[in-house]
Amino acid sequence: MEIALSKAGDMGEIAVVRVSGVVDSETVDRFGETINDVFADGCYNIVLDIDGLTYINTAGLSIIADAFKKSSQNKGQLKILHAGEAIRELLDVVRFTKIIDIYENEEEALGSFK
Amino acid sequence: MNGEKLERSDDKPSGSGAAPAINGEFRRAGRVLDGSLDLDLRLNRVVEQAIELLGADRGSIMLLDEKSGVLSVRASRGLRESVEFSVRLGEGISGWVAKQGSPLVLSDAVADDRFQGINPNIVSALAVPLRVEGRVIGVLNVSSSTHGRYYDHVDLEYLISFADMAAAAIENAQLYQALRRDQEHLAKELRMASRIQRSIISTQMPCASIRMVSRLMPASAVGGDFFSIVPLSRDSRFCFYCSSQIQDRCQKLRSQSCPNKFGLMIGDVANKGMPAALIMSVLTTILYQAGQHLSSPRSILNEANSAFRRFFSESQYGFATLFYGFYDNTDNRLTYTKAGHEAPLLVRQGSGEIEYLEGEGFPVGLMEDGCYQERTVKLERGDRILLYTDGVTGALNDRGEVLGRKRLVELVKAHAGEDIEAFLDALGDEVMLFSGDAPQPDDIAVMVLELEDLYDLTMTVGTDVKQIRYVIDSVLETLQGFEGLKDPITLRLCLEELLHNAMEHGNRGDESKKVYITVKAGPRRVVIRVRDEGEGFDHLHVKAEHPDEPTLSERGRGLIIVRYYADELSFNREGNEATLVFSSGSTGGPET
Repeated sequence: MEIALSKAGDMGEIAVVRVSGVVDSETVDRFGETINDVFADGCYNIVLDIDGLTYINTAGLSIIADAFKKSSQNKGQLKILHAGEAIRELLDVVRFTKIIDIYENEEEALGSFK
Repeated sequence: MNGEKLERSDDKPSGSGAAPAINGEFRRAGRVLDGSLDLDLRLNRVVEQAIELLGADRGSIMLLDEKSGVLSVRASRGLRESVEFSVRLGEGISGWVAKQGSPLVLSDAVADDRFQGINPNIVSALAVPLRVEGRVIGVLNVSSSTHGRYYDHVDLEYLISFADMAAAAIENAQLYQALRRDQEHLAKELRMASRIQRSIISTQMPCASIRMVSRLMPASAVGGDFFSIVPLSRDSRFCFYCSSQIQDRCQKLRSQSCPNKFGLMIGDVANKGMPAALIMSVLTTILYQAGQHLSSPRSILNEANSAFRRFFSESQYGFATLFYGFYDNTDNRLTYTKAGHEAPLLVRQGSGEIEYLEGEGFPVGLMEDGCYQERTVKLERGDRILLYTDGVTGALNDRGEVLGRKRLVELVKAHAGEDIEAFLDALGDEVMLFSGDAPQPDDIAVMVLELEDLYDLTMTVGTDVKQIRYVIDSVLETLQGFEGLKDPITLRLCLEELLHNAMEHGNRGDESKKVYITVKAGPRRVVIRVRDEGEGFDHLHVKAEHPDEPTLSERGRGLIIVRYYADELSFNREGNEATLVFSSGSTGGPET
């Protein structure tokens, strides 16, 4: 798993988490920690860029679900960017696509917070 | 009764006025009798017609039971209930008529002593025997209570002519009834025989890695074609497993038979129908018994040959073709002997080539020395064997052409990619399509076996989530190239979920407890079992999340994912073993 955190938006109010590779039992903790770092920073607007993510386990999905809840509770939002076909299907299965907006275009995703 | 049987046709007025219109009435009466073949209906019509023809007030038919010599009333009109319904031959008026075979006219019954006590209202009566080819089958009686209506000889002749016609009609109906009873009896026996024959045939497959499907279609209710899977007893001569420590594992199956070997046979007794079925039942018994104490197919066929010749030396149905094999699951070898039977087809999964399981040997029962030889063929995973009787290759179409082995091979090649159940159905459909409306000339028996598992993996790991990736990688590596799983995400998600469940919910994180994983994969199917040492969870009471709500609870989400991607998910009764099945063609959810 590769994971990177950066800031975007006019005032750096959006956190962009780019995760690729495999989120499984060995890497899921690191994925969770990265998300926690964002919240610890007081930032509740997150773009989760999953371009190149080939696998995510249920624990990883839980982290996304928790992050979505936490950001909503703090008047922020979590958006997903670049979901591949297989991951997109998985997000459909667990109904995340009903509550989380998914974007194919980074500018659109970032623009959606305005 | 004495000799005075026809009397007093004197000066009394004739009763029925049986004269000019007779021919017309007779023809009509005859037509009425031609109707239904139902005996009771016919008897009632005879009585009605007789009453009408003779202008009588009452009438009856008594039929004679030849064995008991008793005459019984079988149809009547106008009789009092008190009238006796049966008499012995020779007793009373009807008894006398039947015994003598002679008719009787009583012109003035009131003055006749013989009628005393029978019915005081009767004025005049006629009794005539019902005769077929000189044999008396019963008596037809009519009587009148109308004063002044006395029957005379003209009336009697009239009734005799009618009775002759009626007797033939009654006899026909009786024969028909007897025939129908016999037919129903025979049909019932055949249905039972058919069930019995099917129960002789065993298709219980002891080896888990072999899948088998079969069809038996006799041309009539029963037939001489058969096949069977013969369980072989546990014996160290046969089975490595039965002789080693692993025997423990065998015995857990609580079966007397060895789960790693079985006898396999298909045969065709010459001729069809019941005679063939009787011989088939004896032959299968011989073969079954021989399989319990002989250790090679060749010796089994030798024994079957000599036993057959002993039992059926006088029989004209003197032989049977047979294919008999021992299959050994431990090295996937089939050792077989052929006795003049059609060569089974071996369809190689890898190359798609078809091999014929040829062999020497005469049909069982034909020669003193059957010259049986053994051959051995090794099966590879996914290979299939089609065993059949000549009813398949001998199927005829309406142009009189036979299906033949060449056509059969083409059909097998065309459908080889299908699952064996569908494969067998397709072959059956093709044979039917070929035959069209032509009747099935011969019994048909077909059996398809497939050595199923392509991969086999067993792993045991401790309760440690760090082991999960290792297990998943090992399974994925084992299943590499397996076409049924194009998308490893599917398998990975499901397996990870089950392993997590086993460790966290099953073993409750107890590091001393273990998780057992077995993977069995065939060309079209992967079965994964994950078992833990916990007390089991009540999977039946895990509430399904509402389908439209996002599944935010981790546990419910896991099961939803597994249920979505796997073709089957089931738990054992204890709830500590989950079984996942993936079938080929569907890698889980719908294609997107």
